[in-house]
Amino acid sequence: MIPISYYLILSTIIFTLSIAGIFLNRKNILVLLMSLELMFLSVNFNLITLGNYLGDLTGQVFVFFVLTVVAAESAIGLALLIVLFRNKKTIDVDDLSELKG
Amino acid sequence: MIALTLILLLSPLIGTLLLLFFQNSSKNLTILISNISILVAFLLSLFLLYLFYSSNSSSISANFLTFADTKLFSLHFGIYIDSLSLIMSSVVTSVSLLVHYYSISYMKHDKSFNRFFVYTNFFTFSMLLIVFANNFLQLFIGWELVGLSSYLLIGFWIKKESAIKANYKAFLVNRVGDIGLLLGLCLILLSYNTTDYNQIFQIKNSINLDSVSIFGFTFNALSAICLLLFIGAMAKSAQVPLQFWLPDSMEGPTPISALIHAATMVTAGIYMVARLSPLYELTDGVLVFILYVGSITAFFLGLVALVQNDIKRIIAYSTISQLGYMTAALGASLYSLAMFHLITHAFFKALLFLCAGSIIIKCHHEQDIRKIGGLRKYMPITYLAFMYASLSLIGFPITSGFYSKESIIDAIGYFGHTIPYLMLLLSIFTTTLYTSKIFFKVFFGESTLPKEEQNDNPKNENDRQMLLPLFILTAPSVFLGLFIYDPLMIGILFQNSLAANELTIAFYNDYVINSFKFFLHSFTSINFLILLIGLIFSYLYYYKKAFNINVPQFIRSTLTKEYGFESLSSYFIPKIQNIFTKYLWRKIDISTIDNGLINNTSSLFSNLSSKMKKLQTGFIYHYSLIIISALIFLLILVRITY
Repeated sequence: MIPISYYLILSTIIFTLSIAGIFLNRKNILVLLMSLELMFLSVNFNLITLGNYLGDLTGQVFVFFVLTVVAAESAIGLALLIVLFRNKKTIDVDDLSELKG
Repeated sequence: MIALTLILLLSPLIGTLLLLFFQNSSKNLTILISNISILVAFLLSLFLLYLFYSSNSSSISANFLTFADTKLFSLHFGIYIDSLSLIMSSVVTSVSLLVHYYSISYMKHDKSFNRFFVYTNFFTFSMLLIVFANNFLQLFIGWELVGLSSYLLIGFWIKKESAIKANYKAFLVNRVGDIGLLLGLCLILLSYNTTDYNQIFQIKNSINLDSVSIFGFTFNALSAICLLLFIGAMAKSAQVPLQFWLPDSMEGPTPISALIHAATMVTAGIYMVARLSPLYELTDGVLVFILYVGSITAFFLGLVALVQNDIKRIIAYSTISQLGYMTAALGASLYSLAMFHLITHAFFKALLFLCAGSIIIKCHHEQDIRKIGGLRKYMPITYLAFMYASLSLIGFPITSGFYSKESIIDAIGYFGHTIPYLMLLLSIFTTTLYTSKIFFKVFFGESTLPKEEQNDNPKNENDRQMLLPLFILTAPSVFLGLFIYDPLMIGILFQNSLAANELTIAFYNDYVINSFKFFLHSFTSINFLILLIGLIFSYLYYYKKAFNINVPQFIRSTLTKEYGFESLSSYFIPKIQNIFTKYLWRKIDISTIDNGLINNTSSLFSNLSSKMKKLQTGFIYHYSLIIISALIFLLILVRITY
């Protein structure tokens, strides 16, 4: 039996990676969306692990809802990305700084 | 009686409002409204005067409107009817009526015909407001309104630069006096808790010795009040050292000089002191001050008239000098004589100015007497009227001016005020000189009229509308004194309106005896001798040109510069004002307000915002970093607290 701490550590590592992906990614919005996806996965991973550990099915069922929302979210994100590319001809993060004061 | 007085007071105001309302209508309507409103006031004045004396009623004081009503004091609009105010209002309205009538012709070619009558009607109303005031606040309001109308009328020709400068000057000098009046008003409220004349007259005795303390200095309240009020009177009645606005005010139309700057407005100060005579009687020091101010003004400003060449300016200096006589009479407690001279002076000085206006019109607005001459043949009526007015001004026996002026001089001598007496005596001589100077230069010698106007046809003189007021004014200028002299001196005319009647009565019983004896006695007096010397001297000097006097240059220039007042008013005061206002402009306006408050505030915010906006990088990862670090920070906070 693999101890629960391993699962949690893995989840934390994935979460940290995704945050680092958002912060350190200076190139590409596509990578940004992928990092977000990864963040959701790590959270889902946590939910499943702890749901199984506590013997509560709610956590595992909740993951389905989260996955649905994430799918919708990434669909919208990709749609926005396409519109953005049509207008700006770029998906480079550094070029998208119109709110700079 | 009260209702009639109210109508009398408001009639010129209604006239003003109607004139404003019918601003763009015909000239005839303007003439009708303005003259009728003054005519109503004049007739009511006469009627009330008759009513007052025939019914032997005592003074009436009535309040109408209340401005303010506090526990300490209340401020009202009211009227005060007694012999003094009724006589004064008769003088004001009669001169005003004649001047209005005269102006119809004098101003007929002016574009701002309507505006002129709006101002003159408004002036008459303001003056009546002073005359009928029954409290100090109303006096002050009337005082300011009179100043305002004077300002508007001096600068009536708004496109003439000298006129604008003159009205500015007149207004500023009057402000100096107004501050005195205002401070006096404040002090009255402070020490009496009322502004009503009657109440103050009643309680004056009990608190005469009360003192007030201002900035650590202690004054006798009553003396301080009287002195401050007299400063107001000094500015309005052109006494040294606040006299220098009056000659410049001759920039206005000539009827205005006659109405405001000779007959009525400048006498407001004299009237006020006479009205408050019960108060002034209780202060010795202030009266001596008034006496000396008056006699200095009478003598020294009369001298200045000798070196002037503008006909209106000479008469203006003579006005200042005559006002000096009135002030001196006030200072010697001879209030009824001061009022008497005020009345006679109003008539003969208005007459002189109206004659001057007639001359000026005839000579196509030439005012320099060196360029006018030989008008006797061509303007016979003006010539005669001017002669009678001049005789009255120099105090030739039997004329009105003789009775009022000689009585003042003799009474001041009789009561032993030696130095003022000598100054007033000497100024008879100067009065004679400058009056004859105008008379001989304008009416005798070579004619300066253009050839085509040189004919003896009497119709060639100015039109009847201008000559009728001259006719009418000649009568009071010559005969009024004789008629009212006796009742005035024994105190029937002014009854109890003026204080210290007993002085005048003592002088009358002891020295004058009656008007006819005074007339006979005058031929043997030193006054007549001086007058005669003056007349002979000026006849030889100005008419025959028998000899020539070389006046030393420094005396001439001192007189021309009006003892330095000229440079004071046209050079030093503007210079000081310039430095002062520039200092205010640089230090207060630019440094403190503009740069300090406004620009600093805006630059503070722009600096702050330029620092703040650096946070807005526009990069998503910066925002998310802030969001997540804030989240972590909050979580730690929650962890620590619970």
